[in-house]
Formats: sequence, C-alpha cells, structure tokens
Amino acid sequence: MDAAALGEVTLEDHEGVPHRIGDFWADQPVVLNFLRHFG
Amino acid sequence: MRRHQPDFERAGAGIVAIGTGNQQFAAAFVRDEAIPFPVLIDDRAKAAEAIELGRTSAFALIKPSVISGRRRAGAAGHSQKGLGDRPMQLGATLVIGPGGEVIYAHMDSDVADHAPIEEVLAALGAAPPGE
Repeated sequence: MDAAALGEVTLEDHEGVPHRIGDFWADQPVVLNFLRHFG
Repeated sequence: MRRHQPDFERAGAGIVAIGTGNQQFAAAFVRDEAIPFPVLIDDRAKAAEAIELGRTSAFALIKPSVISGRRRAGAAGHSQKGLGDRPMQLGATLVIGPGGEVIYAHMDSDVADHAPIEEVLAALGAAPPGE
C-alpha cells in the first residue's frame, strides 16, 4: 500500500477544520482508524 | 481504539479516526464518546479510495455475528450515530510511520472484523495491553 496518495487527501474534522492527512505522520507514527460509522 | 489511546501515546503514536458520516454524526460521536483525538469526515470517499477500502454486501449486515456485535456495543453504551452515504464500506486500521512508511495495515474482511489491538501495538513496538 502506498501512503502517498492518502497523505495528500485533505478532510474536515467534526468542527469543519480541514486537515491534510499526511501531516499527522510528519513527526510521529499514527494509527489511522477507518470507521464504518461514528459510534 | 478509544480505550487504547494511552497505550498508543506511550508508544509515541497519535491516533486519528476517519469516518463515512457527516459533520453532525462526527460531532455527536466526539461529544457523546468524549473522543480526544482528531475525527475526520470522509464524506466523498477520498481517503477510502486512496487506500482502496473494501465493501460488504447488504446480506452481510444481517449475519448473526454482526447483529450480536451490534447488541454488545449497545449494551456497552455505544450508540451508532449514522452510516453516512456508504453503509457498505468496510473499515480498516493502518499504522503509518514518519515519512509515510506503512508499518501495519488491516483491511477489515467484514463488518465484524477489526484489527487485533495486540497487532497494532506490536507494529508500534509497544507491549500488549495490560502489560
């Protein structure tokens, strides 16, 4: 799996703030949990 | 994953949830479950498509194991906020290291399948939970 494409994706959080996903692993490892639903 | 956040932090890792619902569902999830980490909304499947997330069938959603899992979650006080526009999308758990190296990837095989927490912690070089 190539994380490069995923890292370029930008998504909004629950408050509408945009985040580039790749920024989360810039300085530390990150656990990305893809949920089918919230809750 | 929520209850294992301290284990991830001890391993020096962050945690991010990415869901299929909308902002309303995500906000309710963060509020009701007191989620302390980022919760992102993949309402247009951009992230799901980037990692080629799998899909399930409508039949799979009524399997006994799925129904019993839903009952267990409800009994534990977890309420499903909403499925969004892609109820057939499956979940996944990735561990990605600095620089973008994929250290671990678990693509759920069905809706009742989830990454074993021991495997996730091992990918981070952390001890199993409770140790």
